Amino acid sequence: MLADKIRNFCIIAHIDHGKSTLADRILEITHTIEDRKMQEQGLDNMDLERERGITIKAQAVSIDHKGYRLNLIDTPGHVDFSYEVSRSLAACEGALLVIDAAQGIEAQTVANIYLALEHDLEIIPVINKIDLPAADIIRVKEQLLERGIDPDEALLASAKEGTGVEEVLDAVIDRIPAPEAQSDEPLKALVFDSLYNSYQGVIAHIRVMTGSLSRGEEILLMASEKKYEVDEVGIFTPDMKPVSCLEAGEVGYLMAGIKNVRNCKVGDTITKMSSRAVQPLPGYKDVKPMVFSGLYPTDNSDYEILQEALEKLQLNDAAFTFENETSAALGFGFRCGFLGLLHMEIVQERLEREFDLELVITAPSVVYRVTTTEGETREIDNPAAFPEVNEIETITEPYVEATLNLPEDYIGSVMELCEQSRGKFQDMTYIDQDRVRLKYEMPMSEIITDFFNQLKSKSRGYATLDYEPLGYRESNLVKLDILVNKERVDALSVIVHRDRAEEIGRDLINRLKDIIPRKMFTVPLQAAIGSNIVARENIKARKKDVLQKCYGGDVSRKRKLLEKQKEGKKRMKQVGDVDIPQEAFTAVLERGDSD
Amino acid sequence: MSIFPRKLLRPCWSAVTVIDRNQLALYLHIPFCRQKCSYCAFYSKIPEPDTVRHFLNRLSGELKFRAGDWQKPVTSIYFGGGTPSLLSPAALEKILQVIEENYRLAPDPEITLEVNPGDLQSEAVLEGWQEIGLNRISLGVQSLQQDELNLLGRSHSVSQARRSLTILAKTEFIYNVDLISALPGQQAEDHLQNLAEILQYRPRHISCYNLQLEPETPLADRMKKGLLPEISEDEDARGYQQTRQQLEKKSYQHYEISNFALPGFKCRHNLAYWEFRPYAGFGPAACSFNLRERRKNRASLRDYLADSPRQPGVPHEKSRLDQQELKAEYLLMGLRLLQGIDRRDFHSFFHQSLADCYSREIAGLKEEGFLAESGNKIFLTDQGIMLGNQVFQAFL
Repeated sequence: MLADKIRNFCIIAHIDHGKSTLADRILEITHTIEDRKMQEQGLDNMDLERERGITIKAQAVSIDHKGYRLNLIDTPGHVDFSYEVSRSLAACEGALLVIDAAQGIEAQTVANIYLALEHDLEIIPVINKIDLPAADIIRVKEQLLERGIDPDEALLASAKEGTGVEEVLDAVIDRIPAPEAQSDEPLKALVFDSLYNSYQGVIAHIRVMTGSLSRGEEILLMASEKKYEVDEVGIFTPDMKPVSCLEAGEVGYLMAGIKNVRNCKVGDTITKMSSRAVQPLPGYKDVKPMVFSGLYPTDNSDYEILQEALEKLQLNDAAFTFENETSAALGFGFRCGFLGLLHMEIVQERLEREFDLELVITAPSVVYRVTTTEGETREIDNPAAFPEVNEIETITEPYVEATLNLPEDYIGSVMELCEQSRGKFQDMTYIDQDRVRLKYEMPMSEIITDFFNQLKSKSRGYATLDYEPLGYRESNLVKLDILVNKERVDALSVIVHRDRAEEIGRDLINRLKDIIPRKMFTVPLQAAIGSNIVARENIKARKKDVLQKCYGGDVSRKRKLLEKQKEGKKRMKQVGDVDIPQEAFTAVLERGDSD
Repeated sequence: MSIFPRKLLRPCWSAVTVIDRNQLALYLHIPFCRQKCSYCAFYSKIPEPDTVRHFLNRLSGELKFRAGDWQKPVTSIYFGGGTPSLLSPAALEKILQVIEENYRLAPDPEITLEVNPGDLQSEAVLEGWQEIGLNRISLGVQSLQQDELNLLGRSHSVSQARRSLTILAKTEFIYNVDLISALPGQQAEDHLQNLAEILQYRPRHISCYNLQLEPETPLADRMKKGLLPEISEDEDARGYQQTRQQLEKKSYQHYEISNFALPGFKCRHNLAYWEFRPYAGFGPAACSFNLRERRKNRASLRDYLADSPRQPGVPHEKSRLDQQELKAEYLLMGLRLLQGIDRRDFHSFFHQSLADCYSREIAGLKEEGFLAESGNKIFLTDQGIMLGNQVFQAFL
């Protein structure tokens, strides 16, 4: 395929502005997917994605239209995956910017516009949902103008009804530049996604930047320094269709008997052994997990099933790590590393759904560096593993530079939130007349509590958050222990700032009191720093719990009610004589001071 | 001349080791109410004269159609609902007549009518019911405080409740009074005040139920929205314990978790459920049990009334219980009775000893102080009575 007949593009949109519907219409109009094969939304594969309305893994599809090859790359849309987004954008020359005609441009869209501009992408604005009664095209055009985008370039469409989609395709061909492609240079192909399945091994999604790649050739992954022989190259139609050769400018896939996504990571550059590229493509990062938490089977006998499940999951997720861990309270489990909270939730949900496991997941933690009085420095990703207070000389914790974009109306409340989260103000600049960018230095540990949720609620969803690691800084931190029925529950320990330890302890105890079900006896709950009790509450004893009347003799209904009650108890983790539900282990995530 | 003679229900004492299951209890679900109570999840509709007539025909039809399945002598007939006291004595008598013609009757069966106090405002009404052979009334008083009745959405008033109690108390007629406790915001004393007043009428039988929030009832919705004060488990427990004490002081026997009776006046009909005896239920949503299989009629009056020439029966679902389910239900019913269950009865029913099936569970529950044993009887302790669900769940 000649490079000047290729167009590589992605779609940028706020959730619900119609990205998937537009993608579906494009696939339909170009007969890429027949109607009857069309699932509700053609590109989002996983159930999880469809339910959450988000794209977690990038997807690609090649569309043949009017003699051109249009490669559409779908991108993930959450801060946890911002690196993957940047690699997907790096594989494109242009982007469709989809805006809901009734909603207008929203916060996240603006952030994505900047990301696209940083990658020098040609942006084609598409005002979608013009069929809605509340559509206000003039307002959206004004908003575009305010953000430096020529409103006359905007296309009008209703992806739902199929209007304007033809014009969108024409614009992709006319306005997005063809890839600059030197086929005679050494091969450089960008891995923008990497998936594993048990039949074919790793399937790398690639964009060939220079050179060409054929079956049988010997390749080198420049970052992982692994060599393979290519079994198959091909394109997504969207099913995988083998081709003899992928040339500069093309998007497709590669299979080379790679057994683990770790050897073929997103952002890596593929070159040929026969004529190696001197420099890899820019932008590769070795993504490391930032957030750690313990995963335990609710039923201890599921330990081995969980281990197998984690191994399988890891094959397909280079950013996810795990190792054995033992908790006095929870028994045998695993310490798992994630990119962020969403990543953690996704892994948890996949384990529960795909492997039918009931899990207890402990509150996420960052990696602390603790220097002991002996002078030894240890990296600790589990609060339970912290040394005793008197053995600690210093503690450092990872800091990030948080960048927040938000409408100026919310400056006050967002700044307050950042201060509460131990943020140190750095900078405030105006992006345009009514939007500001705030920069804060903050402990990473604060970001992985429910900072993101609170940020969304305090800005009515308009604020966006991105963050970059800044390295480690010393903090006055202590371990806050929780004692249930006088027993320390290691899995409930959290690391907090000394100044707020008592307040957080009181708040946490108060919420645990309502979460942990009442027992036949009074259960004391305590928060402690070392041997010092800082908060105490009692869970009152159960006094009465007995089903009442059985009119008309519907006995089986009674039995089922009781079975349900019993089933609920099974989902809890028994610690000593007390049943602790999953919510208790993540209660620390929700700070009581949120309104 | 009525088929069922006007006769007082005589006291009945039983102290058997093996329950006689060669008897049958009949339940008739009358699915009409003037207004729906805010807590009630039972099936009912506002009565229209034509619908009621149509329903009565269909009910007679069902009684006749299914009579062949039930050969055992009928020891109790129970009109429940809904509000069966809405029906005229003639209509009730018609149903009794169909039963008499199609079922084997034991001598002197208990015949109960559930009554809304609003329907019993004159001696003549009671007289009418006695004429057709009814010998027991279950009066849905629920509370003697108007604000509580309002909260419950009851259609009767406190003064109507007092009037109906006065009418009943003047006769020798056997009746039960239903009371509901543990209302949102209710203190134990509020409930005990209701109870104290009821005791002045000295009914032979008292049922004290705590309010159970059934999903999708108006009351449960209001609770969920936080529009009503909390239901306090502590107050409920305190009120219940005092209820037990006060009633026992007045010679009432606490014989089932929620039921109290003067000696000889336990509710024979409800005993069928607890003693794991067969019963047949007729009308929409009514349940039946033939010792192997449970049947539930579909909870829809429209479906019940729909004539289907190909299917003369009424729409229903059946489920055959496996041995495990049967045993679990046997225990969770039997242990509701304060006298408990008898090992010999279990053995005669399941041809397996209780120890073979549940020795570990029973030992554990005894250890925890929920169950006790005496001779062949196994029964709930005081603690077990308060926390019965813990016990029942152990057998599931």
